[in-house]
Amino acid sequence: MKDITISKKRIKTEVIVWLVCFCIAVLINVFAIINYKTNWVEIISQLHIVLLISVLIYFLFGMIRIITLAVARLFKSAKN
Amino acid sequence: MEDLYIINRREFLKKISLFAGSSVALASMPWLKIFRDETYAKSANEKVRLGFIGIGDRGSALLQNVLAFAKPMNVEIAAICDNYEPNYQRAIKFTNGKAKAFYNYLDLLKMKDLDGVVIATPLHEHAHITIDALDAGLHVFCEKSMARTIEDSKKMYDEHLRTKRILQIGHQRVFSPVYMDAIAKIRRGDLGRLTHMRAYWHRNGDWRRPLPKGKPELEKKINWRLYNAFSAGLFTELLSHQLQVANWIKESFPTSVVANGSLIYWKDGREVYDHISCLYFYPDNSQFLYDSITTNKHYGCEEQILGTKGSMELELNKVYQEKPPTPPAILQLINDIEKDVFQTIPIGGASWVPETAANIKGDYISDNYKMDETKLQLEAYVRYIREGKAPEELPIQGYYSTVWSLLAEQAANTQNRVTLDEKYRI
Repeated sequence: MKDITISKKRIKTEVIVWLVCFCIAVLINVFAIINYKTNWVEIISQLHIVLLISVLIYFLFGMIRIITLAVARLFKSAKN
Repeated sequence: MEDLYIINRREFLKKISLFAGSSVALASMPWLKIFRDETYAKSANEKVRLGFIGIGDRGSALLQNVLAFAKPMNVEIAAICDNYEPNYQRAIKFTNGKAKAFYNYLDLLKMKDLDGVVIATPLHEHAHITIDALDAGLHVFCEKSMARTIEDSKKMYDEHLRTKRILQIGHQRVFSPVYMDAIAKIRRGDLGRLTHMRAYWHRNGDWRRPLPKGKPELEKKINWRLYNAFSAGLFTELLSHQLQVANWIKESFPTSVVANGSLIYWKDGREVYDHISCLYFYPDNSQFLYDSITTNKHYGCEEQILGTKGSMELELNKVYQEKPPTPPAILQLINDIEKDVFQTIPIGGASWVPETAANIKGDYISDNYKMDETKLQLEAYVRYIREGKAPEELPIQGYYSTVWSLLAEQAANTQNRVTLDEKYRI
């Protein structure tokens, strides 16, 4: 079986991507709090839901990245 | 069984100590104080000796409940009595032949060293047996309703006052942890102003007990609930339970009642109604609406307490707020997106949307709904006997729920709005 090596750079990139997703989830929560006029405590108290949403966005974003990569490789191999 | 009893009791005592912090809650349930007291007129080392009169279905249940705590509470079932042979034999079996057995309750009352009796005979026999037992110097626990007539109920109550013996009526809901929590929350104002109450008890069945083969002469003895001379049917057997709850919650008693009754389905020779409906009026002009039927059980049994800020369904152990707390913003946003994506868009439709019941899950009134209130009320009775007295609120609750159930029967029979005669007020 072949070992898969994840480079330090790759890990750093993924963490940054997830942090961006987390920030987007926090911003969604802030928007919801303003829109539905609820308590600002929810920034902290609903952190578990924000985390879940950030993971969801991360996976959605990941799928887009995979599709983009696959299409790009397809074009590259067609050129060659 | 005893272990379970001790665990339940521990939980119950915890609850009582919580109520002790709320004078308002405890004032509504003065009968609970006995569970906190540890010193009694009669020492815990002395046995409490009980006699059971009437060992039918209900009597057996009461007997078994007492047997479950007889050892830890130092109670002895000293005597049993039933004039129906199968019940008599069953009682002997329950007590392993240790209790003295009688066919005639007067012989049981002659026994020395009895402290109290538990009466679970057919309704029309409650009054004279209770009065004889009180006369014999015994404390009495009598199943609800008190008596077949208002006069007899008053005589029972007066005799209890004259003899200074305990008279406890079997309204077990006053010892139910769910109802206690409900009362505490209502008094705290959780439901806002109480403006209305509804209750119902729906069954689908003929309410008959099978007769032994070849013994048609036992019909009225066994199916006494179906005949006017012995029972007021749904009024005394079911309504009285829920009316007691309504009175307890309102902290008052009705001022008048209108009622109706019909015998529309079970035309099998019975005399009592198989469908009843009543409307009680209280001093604050609020109303208690009640119905009981025997041909459909879809809605079962329930007491609904309606206030300006919320509602309670006591049998379901549920409380609902009129304006439930809003969910967190993020969940509202997700819900709204979900609705936008999946909801169909109506193209023209009804101009009027029916105001159907609110579809909210509500919260539990109490966590301790598994505790057995029948056992707790019997434990209280034993404790009252040790104390030598019981809170007067208990017989008063029993008296008025019986009297107002009987007045509803009167209202249904006469088609009049009925009030209570001054001479029957206590």
